[in-house]
Amino acid sequence: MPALADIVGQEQALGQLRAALTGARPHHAYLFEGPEGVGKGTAALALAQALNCLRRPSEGCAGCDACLKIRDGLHPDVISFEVLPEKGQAERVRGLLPSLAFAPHEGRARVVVIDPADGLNTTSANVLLKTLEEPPPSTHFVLVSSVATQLLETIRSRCQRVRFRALATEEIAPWLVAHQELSPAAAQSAAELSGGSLGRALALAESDDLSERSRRVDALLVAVGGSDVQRLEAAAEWTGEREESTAALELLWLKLRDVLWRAEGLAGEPLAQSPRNLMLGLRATEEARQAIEGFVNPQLAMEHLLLRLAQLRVMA
Amino acid sequence: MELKIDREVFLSGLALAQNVADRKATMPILANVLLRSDGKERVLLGATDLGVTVTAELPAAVDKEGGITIGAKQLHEIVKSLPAGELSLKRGENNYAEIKSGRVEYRMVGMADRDFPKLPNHREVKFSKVDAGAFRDLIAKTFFSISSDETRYHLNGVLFECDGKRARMVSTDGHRLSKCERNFAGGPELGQGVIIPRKGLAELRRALENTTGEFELGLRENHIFVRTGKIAICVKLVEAQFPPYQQVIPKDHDKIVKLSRSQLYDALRRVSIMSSDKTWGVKFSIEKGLLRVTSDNPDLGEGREELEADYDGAALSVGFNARYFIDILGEIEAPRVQLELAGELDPGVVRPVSQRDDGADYLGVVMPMRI
Repeated sequence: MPALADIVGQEQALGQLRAALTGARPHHAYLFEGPEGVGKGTAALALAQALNCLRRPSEGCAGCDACLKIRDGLHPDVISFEVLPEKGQAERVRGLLPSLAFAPHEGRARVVVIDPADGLNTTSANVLLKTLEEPPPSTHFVLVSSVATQLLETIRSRCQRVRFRALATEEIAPWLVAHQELSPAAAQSAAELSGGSLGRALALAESDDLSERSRRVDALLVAVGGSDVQRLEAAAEWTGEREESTAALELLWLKLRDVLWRAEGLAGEPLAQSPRNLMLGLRATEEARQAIEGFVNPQLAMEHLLLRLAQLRVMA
Repeated sequence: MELKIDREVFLSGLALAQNVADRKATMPILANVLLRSDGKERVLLGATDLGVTVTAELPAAVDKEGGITIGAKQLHEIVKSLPAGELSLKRGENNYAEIKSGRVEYRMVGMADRDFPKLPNHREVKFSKVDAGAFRDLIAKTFFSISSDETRYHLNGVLFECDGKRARMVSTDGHRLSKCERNFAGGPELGQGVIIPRKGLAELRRALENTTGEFELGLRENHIFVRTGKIAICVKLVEAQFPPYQQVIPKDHDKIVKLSRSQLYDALRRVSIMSSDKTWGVKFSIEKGLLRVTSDNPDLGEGREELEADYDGAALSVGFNARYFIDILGEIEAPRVQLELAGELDPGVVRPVSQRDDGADYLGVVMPMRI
């Protein structure tokens, strides 16, 4: 479990947290929002470590007793509330509240992490409301959500929002090389396809057919730039492969999304194609994927998509 | 860790620990009891549910120092079933605990002692010796009116105040309040009152059940400590502000009725049979020389009883929850009680007529009901 300093990227979010920690005035309720797999949950625990660290207060050392206990889920003052979509959820929230009336047991601060906060049903959220607004002294809530808009407005308005962004390929790839012993090339392709999510990059790095799938998707992109015959031939390769083709279209979508980012100048070199067409291309890809999931013939859907992308002059 | 300990001694400590160890907690280690050597001749035993912590220092022959945590309930069952005499306890690989007594052997799955929550240290606490009977009495006379609404933290316990000479406990659930004061020579001098939570209070009461004479009481950093012999119980205090209870206690009620405690108690129990299960509403009507208790429930029927009373004022009737009066009257020893009323929407006060000479002072306030 990394301390705050070891979280990949997220300078803005971490800066906001550090400022609160060093100013010794951490907010009593945070909402960590942003895409899946970019470090929100990790940051929540790192914040708990920083608040309770015995060696380096307000930074966290990841090595002292308190930090280790938090890492292992053994710290009595760091409560990870399990959000299960079950019936008695509100009762469990209610059961949690009385224990907050006491001072932290051995740490300096109590941290309640609710992840994913959007899993709370309306009743639970309302039970939590009063405490979230005015928790007992030295208690901090961290709500984690990748779809913060789904939270009740009343919950959101009581939290200080910390925004986590999707990570850049240049941030993910070196981390994969350093921590997962991946070859730089494999790390690069996993990072590129991850959509800025370290979590997804890890999952991709572990799946074997990634490079093969990636090769086939690249072949599709080449066909887009080729002749109609080439396009029809490329689509013909996908006869009957329903599951593989939806996975491939997800990948294609991510590749096109990266192209769009570059086109928007987010990662340097501007491209000579219109962002608007790229957007339409992304939408067409998503539609094709949904169509295949809805039992349209994969080959037909691919043909349609490739012709449409060619029409839009989409290039990889 | 490796040690030998007498079964009876071990069992006495484990019996306390397994009461406190929390099997339903989200942290599995809280269901365990902590055993840690303390020098060569003692072992420290501890259990906690994070609110209440019990520790005991037990004599043992320690061969190898160290510590371990083991399931409190199972260890208690095991030791209880073993024959009298000495048993040996050893920490094996992977935190297995090996227990041997004669030809009986157990291996129990344990957890590392360093993962156990820190136990509040009672050795740095300044203890004062106080009377166990008085403390028990204070708890008994206020325990029943603690609020059970868990969202109101500040009412989930008893306010404990002490100036070194006298001690006071107050509890309220918003519908009634009870306050008890007693001489408490040598007690801790508290700048302001502290709130002892319900569960901790119940544990303290249990621990002091058989204590005659004095015990040691101390406060430190949001904890109250009670020590009797080698056993220490520590209760985490509620971090909240108790409401200003003095404002709730009426001071100028002019309608004062004196009557027999047991007659009122019995009458309320009889008449409240006819009151609603939920509200226990009964009507108190006073007139010259008389208190009438009536209950009228359209679903069930009516009940009424007249009691002789020492009263010479204007007539009045007020509705009350009979249960609340029964609770308070049940804790009063004096033969006669004094009921203080003002108007039909004013709270009622009940207290013993003659306060005892040991400085005990007790009263209950009950909010009225519209009936």
